[in-house]
Amino acid sequence: MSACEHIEALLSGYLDGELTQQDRQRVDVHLDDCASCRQAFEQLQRIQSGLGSMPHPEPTEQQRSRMMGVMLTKTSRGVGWLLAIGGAALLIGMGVYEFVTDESINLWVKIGNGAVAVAALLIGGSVLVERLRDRKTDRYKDVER
Amino acid sequence: MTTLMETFQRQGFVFAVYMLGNADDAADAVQDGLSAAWNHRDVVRSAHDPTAWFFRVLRNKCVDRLRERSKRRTEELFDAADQRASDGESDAARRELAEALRVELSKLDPVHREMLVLRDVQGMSYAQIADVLSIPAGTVMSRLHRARMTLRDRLKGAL
Ligand SMILES: [Zn+2]
Repeated sequence: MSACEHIEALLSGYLDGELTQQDRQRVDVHLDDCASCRQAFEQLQRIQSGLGSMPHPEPTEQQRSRMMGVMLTKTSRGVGWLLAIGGAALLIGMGVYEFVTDESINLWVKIGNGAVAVAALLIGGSVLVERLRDRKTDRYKDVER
Repeated sequence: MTTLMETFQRQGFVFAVYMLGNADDAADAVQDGLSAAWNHRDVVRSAHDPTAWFFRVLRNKCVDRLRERSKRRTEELFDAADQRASDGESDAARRELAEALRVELSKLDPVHREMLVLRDVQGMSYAQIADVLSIPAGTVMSRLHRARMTLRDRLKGAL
């Protein structure tokens, strides 16, 4: 490798201020008395400043809201679930209360219905617990799929 | 996190437009990247450089898209960007160089193009670029230099 080839390889790092002090000084010294490396350096400089003043394209309002929409849909989905579950719980609670306090319904019918409801809760609950456990031990939770 | 997402969107769109050459595709890629960032927001917030995290994901989305359509050209954007650039530019030689740069940048190998966009258009440091591309800092310097030298050879007349 000639001296010029050696220096030429350092010119980008020199331009970006990313060289070690030692390398920077070597380039400094060489550029002082080598016109062809100096010319190469000036051309790289012009490329850099040209690229630096290239326009930064901006999205249309429609594109922007599409991109930012990823937050909105995820958040509103969460709120939606919360409302749905809350609403359902309220309705069921009211139904149960009315059913239990309704004196026109036979006690045995109430007991039978109660047993079915408890069974459903137990089964549903165990499925939920299992799901949560799976989720916790899912090693790929944070890996993008 | 919302502020972070805004920044990702703004900077990511610039990168994606230059990489994909088309604003709609760029918006798609950024949308995918933002969605990943939002889904992993705990990871992103605690990353030592959230922007590098986002760019790493976005860059991969862009590479996937480039691979998919491997041969479609990137001229569309460069036409649109062209008009905006010439608005404020008074110096004819400068304008000519800007035009040549745009054309040659779009024709460059994406591996070289991404170096120039990250460094010279977006002003990232070598360390940040190394982080985004998952390559050693020394490789950043040599690859970037090769990208600039290629551009220089192709631009000879305009420089
Ligand atoms: Zn020399």
